[in-house]
Amino acid sequence: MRARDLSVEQARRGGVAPPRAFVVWGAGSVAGLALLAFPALAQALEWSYYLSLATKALILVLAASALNLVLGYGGLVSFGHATYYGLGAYTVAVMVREGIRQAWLVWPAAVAVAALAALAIGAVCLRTRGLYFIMITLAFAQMVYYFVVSFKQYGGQDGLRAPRTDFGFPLGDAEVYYLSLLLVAASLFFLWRLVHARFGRALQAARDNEVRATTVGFPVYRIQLVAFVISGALTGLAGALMAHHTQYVSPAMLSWPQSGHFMFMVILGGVGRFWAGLLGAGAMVLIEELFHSLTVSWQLYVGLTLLAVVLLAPRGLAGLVEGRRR
Amino acid sequence: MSLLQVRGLTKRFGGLLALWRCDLDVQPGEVHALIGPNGAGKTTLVNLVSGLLTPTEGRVVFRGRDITLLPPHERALLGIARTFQVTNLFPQDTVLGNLTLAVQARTGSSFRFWKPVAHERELVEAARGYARRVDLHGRLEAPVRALSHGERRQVEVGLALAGEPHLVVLDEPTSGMGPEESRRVVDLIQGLRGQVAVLLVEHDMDVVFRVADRITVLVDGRVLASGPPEAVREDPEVHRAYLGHAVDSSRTGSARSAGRARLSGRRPLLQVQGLEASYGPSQALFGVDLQVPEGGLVTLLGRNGMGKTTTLHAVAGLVPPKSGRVVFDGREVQALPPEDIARLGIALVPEGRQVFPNLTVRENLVAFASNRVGRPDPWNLDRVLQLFPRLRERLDQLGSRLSGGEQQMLAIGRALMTNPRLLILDEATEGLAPLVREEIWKALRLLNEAGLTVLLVDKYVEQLTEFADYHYILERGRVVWEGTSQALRADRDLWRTYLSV
Repeated sequence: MRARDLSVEQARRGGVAPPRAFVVWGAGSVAGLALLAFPALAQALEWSYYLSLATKALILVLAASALNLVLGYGGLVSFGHATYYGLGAYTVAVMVREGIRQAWLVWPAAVAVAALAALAIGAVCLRTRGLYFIMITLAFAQMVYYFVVSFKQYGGQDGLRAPRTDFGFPLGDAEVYYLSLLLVAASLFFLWRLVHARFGRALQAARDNEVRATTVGFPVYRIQLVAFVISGALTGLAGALMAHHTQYVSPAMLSWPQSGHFMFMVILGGVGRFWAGLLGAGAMVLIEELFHSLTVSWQLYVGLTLLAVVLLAPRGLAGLVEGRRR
Repeated sequence: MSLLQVRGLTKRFGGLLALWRCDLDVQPGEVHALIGPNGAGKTTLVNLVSGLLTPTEGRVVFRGRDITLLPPHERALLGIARTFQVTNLFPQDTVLGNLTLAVQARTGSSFRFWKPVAHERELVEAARGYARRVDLHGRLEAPVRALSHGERRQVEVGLALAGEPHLVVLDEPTSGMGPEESRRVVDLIQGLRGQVAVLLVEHDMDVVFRVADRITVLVDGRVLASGPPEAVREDPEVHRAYLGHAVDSSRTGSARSAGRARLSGRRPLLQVQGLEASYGPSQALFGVDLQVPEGGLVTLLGRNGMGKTTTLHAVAGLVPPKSGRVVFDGREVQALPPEDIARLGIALVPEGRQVFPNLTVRENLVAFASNRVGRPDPWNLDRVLQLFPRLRERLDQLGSRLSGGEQQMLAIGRALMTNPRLLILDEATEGLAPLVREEIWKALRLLNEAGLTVLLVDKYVEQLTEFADYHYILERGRVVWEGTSQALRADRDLWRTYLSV
């Protein structure tokens, strides 16, 4: 690796290879343009399936990045994030069912419901640590799951249709894609600032050494609770997006396998690394899609692939990328 | 008015009474040393002051405000900063990162979500200032896990100072430091005098008498004496507590050689040669040599942090030795895992007893019963209960419900149930009431007379010399003295140099 660094250095001095910042910005803009142009491309090539897939991937990137805030930066293993995802989605479906279709009402409500749930659940769970924290977040998630299933008028086990909310203009699949792209990009930017600001530093300090953090004066409980609420709110936003994307919500969105799925995306991406959500959710969607198209028993191969990644790249995909760069 | 007032502070941990009605006053700007033997309750008191523990009874008043129930981070913001006995930093971060965090915690506003810390110039500048004060301005970007032990201790102090406290609690700031590094810490403490009050827990008496304005002596969770250094030094109570009762000096003579004679006929059951061990970068043992003869009762003495527990753990296989040999019954065991060493017949009764809290007394005892060495009259439940009748009454109680003394009996009983050939006890009577201590010693004496070999760490030297055969004194990871009980009783200088707290 050292030799490689040297050659890059020489190349840079000779003006052959562009500087790294340029590469990063260049790649970033190309990717950004590709993401912006994707719906037009999809329409031209009649790839409506891939547009739907891309939308789904974007939404999962948001959910996984939100979970990474508490799981990675906070060191708090929440095994119940499906709750906030599902509540965000169900808020949309239920409000629309009840005749409230204005986007400016429904979207803030979806985020607020998820945030309030995270506040209530987090306030209790954050009094515990380690294994107990995992178990109690799971227990709350199961409670919410059965609570929602028990509402027969909102579909119970069968779920609920969720027509798209009213933005004042028709909301097609391409518009949902752009809406997802916008919200995911804005959320990632917000999270980036957050983890590099005082708040993010304090959150990581509490993760690395809680006793030390509290004895230098950090209000650890409050910091973790605020992180938990932000994470829950963003997960709720992802849920609301997903309801718009699929136009259908089901209890599966609240289930513990869904929580585990989010966790796995974060682990795959690299716990506590900023791009974990992006890389993890993106890779997960691609892997699932690949095996899904090849074989009926695709889940087995997805599992084996994940196993291989965890064994070979314990720091996740983000760890691989960073390791290469160094 | 005092900066810190502690009134009637009592703390119980289950059956263990760690502190009993302690009073303590720290004046603004003074250096106040808290001394006492291992297990006297010093760290408990410090944790009650900084808020990591809440007291069973009593009050803590700081700057005129009752803070008894305040959480630690609010005490930090009121102006109590502390360091830890075992270095306790943000391991992933650099020196500058650690100090920046401390400055950030003090200046509040941890709920800023937008502005990158790297752009907060005043924060970083302040952190640099503290790095300079603890002599680390050349190591700003070094990750703390790459620092030497001494440098990490300096970061500890830096974190405390960055809180701009009114009171700094230093819990053994020189532990594990060489003389050169210790001196730097002493200079640092002296530099603080008059600006900040310092509550100093320290075992090195040189350091204490050099820097302290006042000294409070804690023994068995009680305040024994408090006052200026000269007064404490002359206090007969203090002398009695540490040095035991007056010693009959006529019993010297050729006692040491006599002791050797008693043991010389026996073959060594345990031999330790040139044992070295470290915890990460800080070396704890620098070539320890000792022998425990078959059927002997040998003690390992020394002040806190001198390597006694590490030696025992290295023998039991819990700390892998860096070099040296541990020979048990003619077999080298230093490379074996702890469970194999235990099967050969070495039983460790650990410090703090480590009774299984969720098992009953009976379950604790029978869980590991075995007789691998094929003893003809093996220890079993009945014999253990004969030795400790108190446990019979408690057979169906959970381990966590026992008093400290009962837990110690249970821990010894549990060790005996494995029918060991060598019984090792770490801090055999720590935190126990005097009468219970006597009971434990009596039991050990009985066991030894029945032929069991015992290696013992304890701090009541006076009483140990009444029944032990031979003693080793450890000082900074080396054996600096060995000899019989008579020789040890005779040499009072030895006690002062190596054993007094």
